[in-house]
Amino acid sequence: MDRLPSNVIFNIFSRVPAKCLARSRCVSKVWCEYIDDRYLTTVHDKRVIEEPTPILYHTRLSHYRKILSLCFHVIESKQTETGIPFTYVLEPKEYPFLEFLRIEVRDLNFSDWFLQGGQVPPYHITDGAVFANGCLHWLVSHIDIMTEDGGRPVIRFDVEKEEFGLIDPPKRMCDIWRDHYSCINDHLVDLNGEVGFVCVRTMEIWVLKQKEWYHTVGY
Amino acid sequence: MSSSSSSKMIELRSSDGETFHVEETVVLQSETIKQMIDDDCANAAIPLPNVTSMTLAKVIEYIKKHAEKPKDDDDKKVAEEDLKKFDAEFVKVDQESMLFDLVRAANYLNIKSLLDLTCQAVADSIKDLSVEEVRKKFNIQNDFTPEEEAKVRKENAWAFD
Repeated sequence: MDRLPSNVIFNIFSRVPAKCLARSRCVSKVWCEYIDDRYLTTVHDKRVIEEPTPILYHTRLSHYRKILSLCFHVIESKQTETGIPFTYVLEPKEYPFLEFLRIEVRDLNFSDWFLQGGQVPPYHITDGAVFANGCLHWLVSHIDIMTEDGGRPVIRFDVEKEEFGLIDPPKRMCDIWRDHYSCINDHLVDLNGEVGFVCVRTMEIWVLKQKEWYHTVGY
Repeated sequence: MSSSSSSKMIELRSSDGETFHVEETVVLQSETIKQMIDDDCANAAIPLPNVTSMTLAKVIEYIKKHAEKPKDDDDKKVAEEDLKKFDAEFVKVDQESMLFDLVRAANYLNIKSLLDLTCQAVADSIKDLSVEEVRKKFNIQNDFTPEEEAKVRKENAWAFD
């Protein structure tokens, strides 16, 4: 198969479902390169395979600054006898080897929001989402941030209202390194069901309440 | 001989020197050969150095079947069903290498429907196999070191459920 022309190999891989493609990266280095190649994400995108309906479309800058289209879709949903909780397991579709999201949604009056897609803010996201208070939260990629203090806003997606929104980054108490890279290691965490914003550089943690950041740890 | 005759025959020669005579209307499904005919390069036998006689025979079987025209609408439905069955049987080959030969030939001859059919067949065969089975079936050397493979597996752990 390795001796086939590359256009044919892309043709074949584009017909393989995302999950199987992710597994197939382990077959050999050549396969891994083909599957990781950006072109495949483009051709895969064009084909309609019998896969679940996408919920979110987004672009993302990888380490090599390639723009890749991400499309999450629901691969699993579980429902208890009482109707709640639901568990939705989402995986990025066209770039399947990125980490996937596991979201547990409790006590929500659920509509078919995941079938709707939505208006996505013009930012690239990083990492998985943190789910809290009915919203998915993603940290905006540091590559997009051109402000001097380098704070990274958070994108929120209200599951019930199916709305996207933007939350400004917290104000750092001791932000003395006003350079572009000071926010590179920031990340979001789940703090007992609330969204936590961790700044590794300054050792500070904030918690999100009513769209405001509250300083909890720092010096 | 003029182009008015629909039964004009085109001569194809496989890599191992065997010649095949196929109606022009049938062989036009190959974009590569169509181009040659348009460019007036098809007066002598067309050499196909990348296609063996065994593969070419299969390809001709395919394009002949796909060139059949139904007489009326009722016949059309039957023909469509028949063609689906034919396609399904066509890609059931004993040897995996035969399937790849067909993929290669379809690509070289630029017969889109045959390329789609055979690529889908390869993709379908990958779909249900484990990593080890894929390597065995397609005769692929695992060039990862155990550490590298463990790393890639970890990255895609979710896909191994």
